Amino acid sequence: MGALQQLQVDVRCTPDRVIVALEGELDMASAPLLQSTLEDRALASLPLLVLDLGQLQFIDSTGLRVVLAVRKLCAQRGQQLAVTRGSAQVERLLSVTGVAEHLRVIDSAEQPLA
Amino acid sequence: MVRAGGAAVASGTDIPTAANVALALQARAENVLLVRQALRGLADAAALAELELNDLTTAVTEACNNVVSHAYEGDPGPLEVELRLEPSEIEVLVRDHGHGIGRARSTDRAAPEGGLGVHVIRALARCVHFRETAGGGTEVAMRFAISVDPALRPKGSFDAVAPGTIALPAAGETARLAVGPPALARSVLRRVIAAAAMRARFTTERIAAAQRLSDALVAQLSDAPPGGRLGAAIGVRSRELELIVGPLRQGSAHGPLTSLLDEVADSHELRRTPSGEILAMHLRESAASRR
Repeated sequence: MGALQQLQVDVRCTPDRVIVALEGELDMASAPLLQSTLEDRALASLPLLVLDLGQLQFIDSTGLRVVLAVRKLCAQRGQQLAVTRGSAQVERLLSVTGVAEHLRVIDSAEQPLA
Repeated sequence: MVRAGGAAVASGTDIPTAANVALALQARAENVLLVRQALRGLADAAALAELELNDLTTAVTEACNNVVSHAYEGDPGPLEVELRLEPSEIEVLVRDHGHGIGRARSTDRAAPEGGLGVHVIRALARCVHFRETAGGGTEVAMRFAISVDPALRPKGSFDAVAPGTIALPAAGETARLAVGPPALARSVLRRVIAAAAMRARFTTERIAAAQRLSDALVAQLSDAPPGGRLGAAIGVRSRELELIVGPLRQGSAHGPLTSLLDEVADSHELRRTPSGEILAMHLRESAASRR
């Protein structure tokens, strides 16, 4: 039995979306892992990309920049992006930086969209 | 045989600062987590509110990120963090000894990274001061409002020592820290050691064993001056952890700690100093590899 890594990234697909679920801490050390996961072209194949932040305990501005980069990438390839709510720390950073206003927030990763 | 590494961490000249927690780490991205762990340990002991701790860890992370990104332009160098718990505030200093010239500063708009991080710090801290240190490095001082129930504030006295005397990490050491008083030392050290053990890819069981060892060491802190303050050096390698901790009461390694050391550490080495015993321990990630 191994110990948890600092950040775990789990990718799964449903008929209409790719869900990228984060667990742990997204910071300068772990941001490259998320970045490279998100750059995988296979993630562009469905109409919606969901960043599931439900198990994300911590995010810093480096992590935020990856989120903003994926927002831009999704826009460029015509894919919708949504994020679920994270921990209080995550929500606080999104709010304080104003990034929250630029993201579509949904309650759960599998929530049907209008 | 233990490679004890670097200079003794807890000798009289190395014990630092009037800070409750003083950390010196290699300025690398993966070490910023250790700073957050120290903050969480402090929050445990002082019963900080979750929202207070969140703002603290966020802002301090940003300040540390700036050091990692900009202070040494790719070369190794130290990241220093000091935490001071006051009745209704906590002060955090984040310091480097970098070049200063050409690196992102609070007013440098050409560096969006530094800009966003500094924006976050200013939004979350009650006040922020940047200053240049002697030799061209930078120190960020941040103060955060906290409410700590006086009954819960860590008790115990320790001598105030002139600031800035923590010894820097030696090559191969991941981190050095000094913590006081003992109630703080317990919760901070166990958090930092758990994170270090996790990075060394220890099994969950071995991480727990390392934490038990941490608690036992803190319980043996020497009362002799500069008593009440624990010094520790931690070296992380793949599947191995080196710990140097002191000053401990004379005789503790051969008395109260003996059976735990036999159970948890692969080897240990003792040094006697005037302020107490310093114990250097070597731990491997899996109990199966021992004996």
